[in-house]
Amino acid sequence: MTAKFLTKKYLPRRTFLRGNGTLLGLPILDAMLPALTVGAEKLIIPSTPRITCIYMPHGATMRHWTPKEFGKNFNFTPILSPLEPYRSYLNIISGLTNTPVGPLEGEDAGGAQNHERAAAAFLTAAHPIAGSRPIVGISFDQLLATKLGQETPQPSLELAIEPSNNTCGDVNFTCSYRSTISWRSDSVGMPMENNPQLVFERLFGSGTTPKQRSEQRIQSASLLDSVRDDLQRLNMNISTRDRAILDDFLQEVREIERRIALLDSRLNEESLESEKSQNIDVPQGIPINFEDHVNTMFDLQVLAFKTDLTRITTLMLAGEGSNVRYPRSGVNEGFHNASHHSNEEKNKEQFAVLNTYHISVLKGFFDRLATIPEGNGTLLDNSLTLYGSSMSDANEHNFSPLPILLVGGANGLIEGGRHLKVADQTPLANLYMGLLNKFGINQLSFGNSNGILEI
Amino acid sequence: MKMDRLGKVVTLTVLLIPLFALKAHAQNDLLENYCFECHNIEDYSGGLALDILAHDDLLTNAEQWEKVIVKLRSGMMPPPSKSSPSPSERQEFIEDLSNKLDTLWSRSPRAGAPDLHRMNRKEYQNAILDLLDLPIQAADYFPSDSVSEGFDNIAAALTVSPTLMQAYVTAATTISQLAVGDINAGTSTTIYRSASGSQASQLDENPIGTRGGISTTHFFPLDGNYDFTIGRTGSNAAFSLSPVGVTDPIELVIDGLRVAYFDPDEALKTRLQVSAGPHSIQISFVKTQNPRGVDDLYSVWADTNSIRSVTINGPYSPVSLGDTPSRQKIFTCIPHESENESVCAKSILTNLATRAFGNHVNEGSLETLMNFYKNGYELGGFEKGIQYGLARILIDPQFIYRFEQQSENSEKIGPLSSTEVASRLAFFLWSSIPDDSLLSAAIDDTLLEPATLTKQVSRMLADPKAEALIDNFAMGWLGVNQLQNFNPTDEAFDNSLRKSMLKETKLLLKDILLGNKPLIHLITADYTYVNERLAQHYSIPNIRGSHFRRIPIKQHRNSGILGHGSILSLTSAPNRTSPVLRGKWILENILGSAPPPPPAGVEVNLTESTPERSNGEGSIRIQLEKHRSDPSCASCHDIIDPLGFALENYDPVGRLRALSNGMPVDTKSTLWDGTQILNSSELIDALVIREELFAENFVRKLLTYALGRKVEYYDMPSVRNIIKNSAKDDYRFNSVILGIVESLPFLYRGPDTLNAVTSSKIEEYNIPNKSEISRVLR
Repeated sequence: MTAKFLTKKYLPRRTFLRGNGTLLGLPILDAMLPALTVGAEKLIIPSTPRITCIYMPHGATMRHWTPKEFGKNFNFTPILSPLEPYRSYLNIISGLTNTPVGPLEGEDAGGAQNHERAAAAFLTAAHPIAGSRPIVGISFDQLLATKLGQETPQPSLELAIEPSNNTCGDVNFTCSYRSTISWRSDSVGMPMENNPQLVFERLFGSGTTPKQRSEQRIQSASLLDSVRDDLQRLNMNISTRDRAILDDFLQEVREIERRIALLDSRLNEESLESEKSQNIDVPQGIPINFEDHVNTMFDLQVLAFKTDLTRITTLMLAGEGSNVRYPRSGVNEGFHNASHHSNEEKNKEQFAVLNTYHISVLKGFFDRLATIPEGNGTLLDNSLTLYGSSMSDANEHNFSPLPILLVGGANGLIEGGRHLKVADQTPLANLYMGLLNKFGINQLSFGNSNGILEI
Repeated sequence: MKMDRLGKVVTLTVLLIPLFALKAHAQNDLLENYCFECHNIEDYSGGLALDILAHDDLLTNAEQWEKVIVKLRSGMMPPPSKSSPSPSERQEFIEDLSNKLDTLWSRSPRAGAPDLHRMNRKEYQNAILDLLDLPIQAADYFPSDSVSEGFDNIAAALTVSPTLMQAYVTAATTISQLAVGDINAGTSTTIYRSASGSQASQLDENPIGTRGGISTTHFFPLDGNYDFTIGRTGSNAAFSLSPVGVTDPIELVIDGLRVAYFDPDEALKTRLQVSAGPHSIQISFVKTQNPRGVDDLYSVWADTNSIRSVTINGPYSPVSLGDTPSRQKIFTCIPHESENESVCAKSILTNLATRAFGNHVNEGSLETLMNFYKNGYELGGFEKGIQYGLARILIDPQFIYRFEQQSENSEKIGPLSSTEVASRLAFFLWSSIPDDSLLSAAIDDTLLEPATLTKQVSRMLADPKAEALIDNFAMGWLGVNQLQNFNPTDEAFDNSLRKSMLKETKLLLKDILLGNKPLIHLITADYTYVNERLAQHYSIPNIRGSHFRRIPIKQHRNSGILGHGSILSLTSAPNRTSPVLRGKWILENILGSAPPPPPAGVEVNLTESTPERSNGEGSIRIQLEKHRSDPSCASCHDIIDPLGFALENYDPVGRLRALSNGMPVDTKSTLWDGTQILNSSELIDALVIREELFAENFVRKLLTYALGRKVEYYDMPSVRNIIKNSAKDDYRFNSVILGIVESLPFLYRGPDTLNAVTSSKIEEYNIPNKSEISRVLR
């Protein structure tokens, strides 16, 4: 069932009637796509795939994740079985490791602190340093945003399900390591938004009519222009460090100016906002139910891809260390507790049930992408989703072998339907290098990479 | 042998540097007798070699020595299994060492320097309310802020992302428009949802004789017509078999007056004329019947038959901008002729900018604002001009950041200016910008006179805005807000219970802190605050209604916060209690000594499997005791677990229990220092004896919050001074706050180079290793 919260006064009844026969209700897509994509057919399909990185903390019961067979003729394991319909789009990559999750010499070697680092290390493949100031490295998605996302009004979108900061752990680490997987630079984590309404406003601007949104863009542009000028003239006796902070502020002022200009020209040229879209209701608030919430976030990503407002998205399905309970999974233990199986068989089986549930929810994304025609195929053919965790067996807090999936046609750049085994101790960063390479981005190294995983 | 040799070296060196290093008599003997066995250069336990440190200059290793003081004071070192110094030896050593450190620091004080401090979103929300009398929900505009050190106001973590910058721009334009009013703004839609849970009884804020529903305050941008659509669940048909299967009518109340009444079968939609500004709105069922003796049935019915949301859409055919509190606050003058317009605009914008920036507005800034005024004026006249100027104020770095000038001598600490202190005060005590009184004291430069400072602090603490200290400091310190994400298997725990638990804790914190009562009352108060929902959960009879009232608690539960459902729940696993989490919570939040993280492969997945009745095999306690038979676990868990065992008489959602999984609960335990306790009230007695640890932890946390940065070892002389001075006053909130406000780190600023982390250090941490390029094996 989809949430009622998006229904609106003029959502045509036939939308639901049509939706009833299919798998999904797709409230946002059904309601908004036709209106917002007037003219979208004129958009050129990007030559590189739209990329989504999805993080799920706490690893998995690997024996029920990893297929026994390698290559093309693998058999689906229980956890991955919900993805059977997408076999030809799937690459299961086994054997990767992400050592930056672990302690350095001199740091606590117990392993519990790996939870402090796991989420931040996932897409950065860099070691998050203890302290109240975050220091890690640029993340894979943000690097892609700088390389592939500059033509879209939003270089990237960062989404979450749980509110940030709800799973702070060790007070010696900043909570931002646990609450975002997306890092713009060593020290700037991208806030992950869990409110669909704010995501929508970020894409289309606030205001209820195109005219209002356009006026707001004009006013915003002049405000930013003035702040930029003043900051450049600013002659204040402040410390070097504070000046550096203002420089960062200035950089973001410029960035938002750029984005507004891009959005403005896009909306004018492509008539994305036509008369038809005048009365579109913005999604309101946060769905209460996990599945509804995730599906809404999937809808928004698909919408953003289809309208080419962004090409890169990240989604954090749960906060690191989250002990949330998933009532519909059939497991009563909290997520984090369930991952600590104490090496008892029945607990490992129970955790596998939870892992399977998560994969079945993930499938909803591909169901959506597959319904959107684009070029000769669908959005699923022109996208690539990376799904995985920074831990393997969370009972041990270890980070090898990681559960990692790639799903999507990737514009034909990556062959599907395979279970790939990498050499032991191959850094996750090498996979990022391999993907960057596929997308034509030349990078000498990334995070702790020591090579390129050719995929 | 090596030990001996090193020992001698230590003694010799110490003799050579008698003043700055530890003296070679009793103090050093204590280290040698009780510490060196593990904390030596060979064993290097806990990363600490005291035998080496002992012959260095004291200040060189001040950070480590402060750790030694903390561990010794808490009594957690030496570990329970080793021999310990006598209490008097211990005390003497601590005093001597801390006095030496304090003396040395007083000769070359350090003050630290927080990063350029950005407002977090809660502060932004408060600032908008204070500046413009406009209630906003910051979460509608901004992403949440990062938490470090337990708080979301730590400067080092408040970075700026593009997402945030975009939010600042949107907020500036939207808020300025709402505040000034814009007749052409168009319509907007807002949905308010009810909390989940039963709607059987009356909500606190809603009228008597009603049940359930929603209560909120909505800001209506213009005088005009607004559509109200009420969403509800349940219907007569679904409950036709129920003896109470009748749907109640629904009423809509604005500012205390019933403006709409819906019969059960009517469409729940109406269009009403509403004046601009904030109005309180209540929607609830009108109770037409409440049969006695069927309360349970009724509540089941009410769960499925409830008001779920209200959607407010408008304005339609707006008539005027109205006379909102925001407009009254902004328009301090009204131009009657066109030549007065820019004079008046200048006065309005100067006034707003002064308050927003917490300082004089310089010529350059004023010129910028007037340019924006002119741009807006050309588009839509005087009011549009003011709106443009206001938007510019709201995006100005002088509003978003709190600037502090670097002292002339970049090597040394320097005093903050009075406006800088005013800002620090306002953000500390109110989570907002300075008000007029504080700002004028700062601009007059009288604020820094001790008498004025004291007077301002008392005035500010008496202001209702000081409640921000409870919401942002106290609730954050105790981690109570984490209850939002606690999702236990026990079905009794619904959202209404969660909210009630949070409110109980908030009310007690407010009573003791803002009521200026002795700090220890937080764990000894023999009263608490409950409503019907919470009382029912606690099995306290005869409490009716959703409002909170103060009741004596001792005959029912433990006194103080350790008897609160909130704390007992958030330290549980979803399906069982966790003595480890409860013990850890007490250590971190009350005793101020966080245990180190557990070693690899620990078993935390304890399940309360069916106990074999004869020996209780499988109980949480037995499993933990088994676990502690491993010496590597025992060194910490001997300290953590006993604290938690004492609270085993509370179940995972904080109800009292006599049995746990069929076995009688066992609350007996032995604390790390050998103190035997029988039950939870003896645990509280044991904590009361350690009041000083509690106070020290409290001061450190409050100072962290006040400064917006980590409290460092060089701040410890100030911490000790604050503790010493407030001890006479039982560590009451006002004395601790005054102590902080008058302290060196609050009034001074140091050079910032010490905090800087160079990029070379980052590289050093993330060196790629140079092994072969790996390939996929197909």
